[in-house]
Amino acid sequence: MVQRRDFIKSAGASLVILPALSFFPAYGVLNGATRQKKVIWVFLRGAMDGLSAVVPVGDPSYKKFRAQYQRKDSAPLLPISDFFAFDSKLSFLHNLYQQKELSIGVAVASAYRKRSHFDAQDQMESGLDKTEHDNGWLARALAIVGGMPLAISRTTPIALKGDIQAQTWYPSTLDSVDDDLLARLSDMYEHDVLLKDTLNTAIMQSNNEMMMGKRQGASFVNLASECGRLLSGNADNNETVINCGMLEMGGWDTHNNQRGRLSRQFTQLNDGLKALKSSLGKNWEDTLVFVTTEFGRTVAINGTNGTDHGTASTMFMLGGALKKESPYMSGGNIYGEWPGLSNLYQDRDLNATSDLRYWIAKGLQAHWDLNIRQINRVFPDITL
Amino acid sequence: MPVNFAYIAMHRFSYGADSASLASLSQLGQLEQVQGWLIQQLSRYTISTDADWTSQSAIAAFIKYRGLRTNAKNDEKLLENAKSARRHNFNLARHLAEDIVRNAITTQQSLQARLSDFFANHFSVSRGNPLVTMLAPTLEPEAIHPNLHRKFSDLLLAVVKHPAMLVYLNNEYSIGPNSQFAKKSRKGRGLNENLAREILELHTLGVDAGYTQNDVIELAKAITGWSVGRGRKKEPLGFLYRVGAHEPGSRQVFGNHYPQDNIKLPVQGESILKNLANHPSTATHICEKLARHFVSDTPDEQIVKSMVATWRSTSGDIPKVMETLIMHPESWHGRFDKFKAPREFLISAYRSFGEIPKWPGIFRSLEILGQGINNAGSPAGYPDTAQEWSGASALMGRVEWANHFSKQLIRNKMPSADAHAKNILGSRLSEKTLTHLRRAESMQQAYALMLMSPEFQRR
Repeated sequence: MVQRRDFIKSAGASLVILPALSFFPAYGVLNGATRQKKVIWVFLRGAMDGLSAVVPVGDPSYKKFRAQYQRKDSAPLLPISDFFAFDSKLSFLHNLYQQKELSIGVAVASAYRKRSHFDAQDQMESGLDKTEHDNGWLARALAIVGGMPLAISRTTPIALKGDIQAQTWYPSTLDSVDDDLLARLSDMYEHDVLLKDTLNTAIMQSNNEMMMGKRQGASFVNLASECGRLLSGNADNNETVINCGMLEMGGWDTHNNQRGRLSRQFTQLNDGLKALKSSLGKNWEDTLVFVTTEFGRTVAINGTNGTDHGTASTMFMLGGALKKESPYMSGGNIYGEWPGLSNLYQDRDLNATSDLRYWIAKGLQAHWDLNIRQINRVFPDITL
Repeated sequence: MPVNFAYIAMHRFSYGADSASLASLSQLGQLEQVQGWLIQQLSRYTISTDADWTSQSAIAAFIKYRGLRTNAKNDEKLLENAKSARRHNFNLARHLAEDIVRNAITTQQSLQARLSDFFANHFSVSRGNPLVTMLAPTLEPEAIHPNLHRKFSDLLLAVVKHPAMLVYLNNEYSIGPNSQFAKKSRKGRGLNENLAREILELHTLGVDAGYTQNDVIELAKAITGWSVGRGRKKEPLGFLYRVGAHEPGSRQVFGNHYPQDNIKLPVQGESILKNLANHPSTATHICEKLARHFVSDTPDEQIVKSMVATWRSTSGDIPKVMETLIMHPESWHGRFDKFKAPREFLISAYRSFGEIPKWPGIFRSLEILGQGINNAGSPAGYPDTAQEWSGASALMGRVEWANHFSKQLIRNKMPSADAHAKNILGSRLSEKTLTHLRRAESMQQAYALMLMSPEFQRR
């Protein structure tokens, strides 16, 4: 087993040189050129509110549910059609959409219909109707395509477990923790004066450090940027090229004060994807990125200006690869059928009209030239 | 809420709950049974290690390194060789240091591991020059573990004679002003009071016991010649009593007279140390420290009194003193004002998940958390109260470590955080914390919340 730190000798932001990995077998059957094409999966953990990311301004019921989101002082949305508009913070995504390097999947979900983050995330990583913890969908795809996946995380995620070798990479300092965890701790310390006061001081100090740019080792922007670098680092060895990356971003579980929190989350996501494109350089042209979350959130705002666990959400497909015309998937499209907000799943959630695995499968057909039989091995529980 | 005796036994007296402790304690309902479970741990404590690193090998390795260093002069390549030998030896020492902690994580004598850590901190040795850095981790297995189930005087003697302590507090070259060596030696070499002072101030009587500078000098003279052999001319590699360096004559220390019995043996110093070990001030000093470490930042006076009484009636028998602490009803209070020191936090986190992720590893984790191994930087060791461990950046470091640790847990091997917390924390687990664990946005976040919960941080 190769240790992460032996594998990638990188402490920080410098360009990384990967040693030849000739001892790893080439698994795949596809030709070298296809194998060079890159797929990156960005998993948004915590359930992103799809209705806030791509706002259905044209839905007649939208205002009823989200009236308070229409304040006059909020930044204008970024329209993409008569019906949908991006949140103002997702300007990079908006640009990509206009350049046909991004498509959206609306009202999508996995097959999971309960409301546990943990189970839903595991199931999405597994990509099966019934979760198998050592059998991930990216691993199944890689077993067909060949090449080498890299997870930007401490341990190998479920998605990359299976009959393949996976590498992981993470910055070599402890990451600063996300605001969400700190907020939860602060609440948990309500009755512990010492811990509560100390934590609040610590948060203030940490914010100051952040503002002075001292620590950003594990911010999503930095992780995404590093991911792009690592995926661009080795084009000379066809058999072991790193052609697949997995990135994660937490902090989406916005049960309260959703507006402000999502504003920061979207900024991070937007800037992170921008950094990813930039660090991929010319490889961007041969890259397809999927951005998905485990489920959506309730349509109505709850009592603490947030939303609770829901069902369908929104996904993004982006990358230079989408500019190419393909019968399966290309850029500048909105995929999926909008179910409307007048009829909700269990009277609270956006109905799911398509399985997000379907759109991932379409993307893999277009990008990695997978045929139906191969797609069936990646996602045996869906039909194309 | 009824006081949860099993929780207290595991978290206050041991290094937290592991599956084996949980299994044995689940059979025991009564306080006396739980107390018995702790008391039976107070026997000989040993560790298993494949480090192959002892004070002897440390001294030998140091001499070899120094030889390389001297021969290298200004030759860069040879200097690099010497440096690489030094690094290699530091790594071996560090391996042992980590194994000591690893044993504390896996042991079923968790109380004894805590007690060992307590005394390693009481007799703190910090890394410094290469020799001390190589020797430091050998003190605990060689001098402390063999004596934890004995009397404090046995422990004190073993520690003071250990090369790590003798080198750290500069006694190896302390020379009696009227010794044979002094007469032959160049000017400038003589008595070093460092170890003697710390013995009185930190290791035995305590700073307010009323000893004087003269007592310090007298003790320092009594232990002149307590040195470290380096293998020259049939010398041992380790403790060596150099008669020629010993100050002849009788001594007067803290009201007691010590004649010059047999100058050929280190008996004068030994008698003084034994008497110091049994002095009432020493008993009070250490019993207070023990009670503060295990039970409360402001320990109940009655506990300390009972412990001191036991100390005096048993000549400082460590298991008996600990038994008194464990049997005292006030030791089982429900205030939970102790905030785990970083080392306790780390070990209990590892214990409760049965996992030691590779990175950043034990050694580096403790540095990050602020309680590096052999790195207190003072012979007084690390502090032992909530006030001193709960600084803002220290707490943030702990949150970051917990966050990081949680992300490394192998997801499908672990129980859900709320079920796990119920198991580990029992009835101490509050509704508030439980709710947070259930509502966490990911299992990793839930584990981090559990580790950072007041119920896990305090004991």
